[in-house]
Amino acid sequence: MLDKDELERYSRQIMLFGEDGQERLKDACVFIAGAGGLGCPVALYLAVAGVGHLRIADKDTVEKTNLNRQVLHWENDIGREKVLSVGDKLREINPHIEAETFHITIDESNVRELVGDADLIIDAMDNYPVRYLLNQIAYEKGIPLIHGAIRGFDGQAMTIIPGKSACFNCVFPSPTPTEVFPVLGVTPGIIAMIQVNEAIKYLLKKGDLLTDRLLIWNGLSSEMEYMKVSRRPDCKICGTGSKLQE
Amino acid sequence: MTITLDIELINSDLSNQKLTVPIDTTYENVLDILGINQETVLLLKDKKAVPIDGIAVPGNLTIMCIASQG
Repeated sequence: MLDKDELERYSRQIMLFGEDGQERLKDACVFIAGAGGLGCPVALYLAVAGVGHLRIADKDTVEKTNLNRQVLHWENDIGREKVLSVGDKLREINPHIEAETFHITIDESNVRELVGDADLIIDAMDNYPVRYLLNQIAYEKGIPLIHGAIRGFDGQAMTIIPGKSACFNCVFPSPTPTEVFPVLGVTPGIIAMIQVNEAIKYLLKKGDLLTDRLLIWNGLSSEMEYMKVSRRPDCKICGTGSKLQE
Repeated sequence: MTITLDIELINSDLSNQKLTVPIDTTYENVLDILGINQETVLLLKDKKAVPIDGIAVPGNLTIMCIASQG
């Protein structure tokens, strides 16, 4: 049930999807993997939209080089655990939501528990090994996964409905090399907004999701392109021969 | 016998280019010729992904650099 303050706070979006929709957001739980360039704006906009339960995991502490893009970490946060920095800001910007934080490296041993019974998983990671792990858990648990990644002025995003649409492994069968990467702050902002838009649409059951399409953002030309993707029969996660199918 | 590919590069520092290669050349070979690490890109034909071990066909080929960071 929304209280008077919440009704006023969310009034402009209740005009879009009604109190029922707002309550759906309030009841939702989203697991955000990463509290960096993507994770900060993802968490911020889910929080202000009133998504009631956010679970955020990240192993890092705030460094000065993060501050050009990781918008919930400020000068005074340097040296703090990123998840604590994010948690404090979220509770301050919207006291009606719960932010549960985990200062931890996401790995095989803990990912199932971290994701728990979330309604959605948001990939705000900076590496492919954990993305593969999130994709596997999403498939095992039947929880949608919203992928985002960035580099420089460019980025990509895609929504994965396990068992129905192309999964992360279908599109990216092999990991990319790791690198110290260049990035402009607005790039994760743009991709994160697409991810949050997807999350809200999914939770409200509105619109057409970014499934079986990879959105490709080119910041230098300000163009978005879409690549059609489809499930691969030989995908080791969702393909017909996958061990997870057994 | 050779074929010509009109290569468009998305989100890359490299420029678009035409490439003529022997028939039966794989897309993997095309990337080798261009000096592109196959782990860093997706290949698209008519906006649909094509497998890296597929045989290249004449016409347009889009090479998209994968974003990997967060």
